[in-house]
Amino acid sequence: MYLSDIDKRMYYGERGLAHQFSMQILVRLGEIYGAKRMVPIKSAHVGCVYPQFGAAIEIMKKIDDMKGKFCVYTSANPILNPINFNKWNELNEPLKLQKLAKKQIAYVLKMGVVPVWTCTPYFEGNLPNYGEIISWEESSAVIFANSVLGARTNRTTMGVDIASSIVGRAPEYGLLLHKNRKANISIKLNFEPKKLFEYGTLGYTIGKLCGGKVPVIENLPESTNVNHLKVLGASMATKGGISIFHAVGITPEARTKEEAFQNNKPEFEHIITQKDIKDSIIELNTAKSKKIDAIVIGCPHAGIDEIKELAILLNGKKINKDLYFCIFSSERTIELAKKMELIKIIKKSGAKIFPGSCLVSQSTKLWGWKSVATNSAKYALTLPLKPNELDVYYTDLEECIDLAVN
Amino acid sequence: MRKLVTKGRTISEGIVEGNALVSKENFSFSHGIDPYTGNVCDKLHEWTGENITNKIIFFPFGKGSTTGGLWLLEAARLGNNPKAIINLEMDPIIASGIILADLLYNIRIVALDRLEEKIFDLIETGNFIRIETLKEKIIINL
Repeated sequence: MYLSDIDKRMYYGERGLAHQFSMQILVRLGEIYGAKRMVPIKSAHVGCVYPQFGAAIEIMKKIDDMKGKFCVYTSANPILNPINFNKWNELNEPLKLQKLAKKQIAYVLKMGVVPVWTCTPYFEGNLPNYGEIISWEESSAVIFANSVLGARTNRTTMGVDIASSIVGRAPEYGLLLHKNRKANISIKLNFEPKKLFEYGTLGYTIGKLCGGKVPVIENLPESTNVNHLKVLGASMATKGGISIFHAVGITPEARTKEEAFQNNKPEFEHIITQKDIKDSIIELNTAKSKKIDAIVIGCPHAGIDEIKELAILLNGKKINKDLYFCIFSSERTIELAKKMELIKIIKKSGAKIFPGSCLVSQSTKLWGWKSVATNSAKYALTLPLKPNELDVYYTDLEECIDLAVN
Repeated sequence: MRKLVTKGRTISEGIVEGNALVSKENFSFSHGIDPYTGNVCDKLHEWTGENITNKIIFFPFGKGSTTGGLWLLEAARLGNNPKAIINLEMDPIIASGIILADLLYNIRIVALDRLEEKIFDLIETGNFIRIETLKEKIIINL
């Protein structure tokens, strides 16, 4: 792998230990995956997750001890954090875990993180331009950045994203290269998705059909908006490990079908029907009954229009006292919703809003939760797994609300 | 002992021996293992109930969350990592966990990919095998 003079200075320790350690990680990764050189990045998005894992704390401690500082705009994913500790106290999150989370957060703040605590950093000022190279974690954000924004990132894991942000560089391989972004599977819909829930289910279905590939959806409706694309990508990534998709006439690298395929032929063509969507809904349902402990909304974080929709649907209703109705969003989106007087309506119904947080990796078991309802396909895929091990009733937003108020 | 020589890509070199754990299903360390025990906890995976600690594990591709590398790293910190990971094509998420285990904890997990696909048919769960990596060549004794 070619290293420039600056790369070499960092690699051999002239810029200090943090740069050296970071370059060691990145060069090794680059050499495995055939990177020819290191390229500058414009932003990073880091995970700040699993404070219960000693390794998650120790890697940050090591970089902090070496005085590592982020040198590009670096946002962070949601998790237990200062803006919602009080909320989690309501739900009995163990103090020990809160303490570890505070430690982890202190490290990234010292490194210079922009504390947006959200899985939708592109709504919070981390907005890379078309063709820009970035180094992001969080599969739903990675697929959004690659597909919808046309920025370029590989899926990175905790440690690698931090290393990239310290040195402002990434090894050039995988999706950083134009040729690896070409579509190889064609998807046609013979139904028209409308609701967010349908887009999430569609993403799951595509993930199931073309794991690890690059699909292009040929006929998404004109009404498709940015929130639809957010949940579509999130469930595609979670189910199929897909990091980029194209949608003809909608996403920037697919102005035409030919452009998306870079003039190659598709390996497969799939037609997705309403029946495929129904089958997927059944597969995503792991709950044995509609008896649930909570309704969880906002994975990925709810955008302002979702909060508006929630306020309209919850207006004048009362959530049953024996269950929780939890909405997850970013702190800044919630501030906006307050100004729009939406939060007042939502709170009046008894629903709770958690800024900057996420249910995955929280102690839902200790809270006594066994079963939840959600309209998020990504939650339906992740919450049945450790550590949550929840049964999930997967349905649209309207039925989620019906379950909560009746 | 039978000796197989196959082409492949060495991601992390070394010589290891141990029991094989083989699956044709894709696998994620994130939510897939309990790092504190090495037990496989993905109830939808055929390995559910198995333990990966000190095994030589074979699966085609990684899948799932970008936190997979961290789950593997945590298992390594606690001494519950597999001795070797063999894939058809290794997800950089897994390779990252392997690099970090080496740089942070000095734990070497042997890693290979791009082996001939038939290897997955020749080796069965429970076989005691020995693997030796030599750049583009991999020697498996079973």
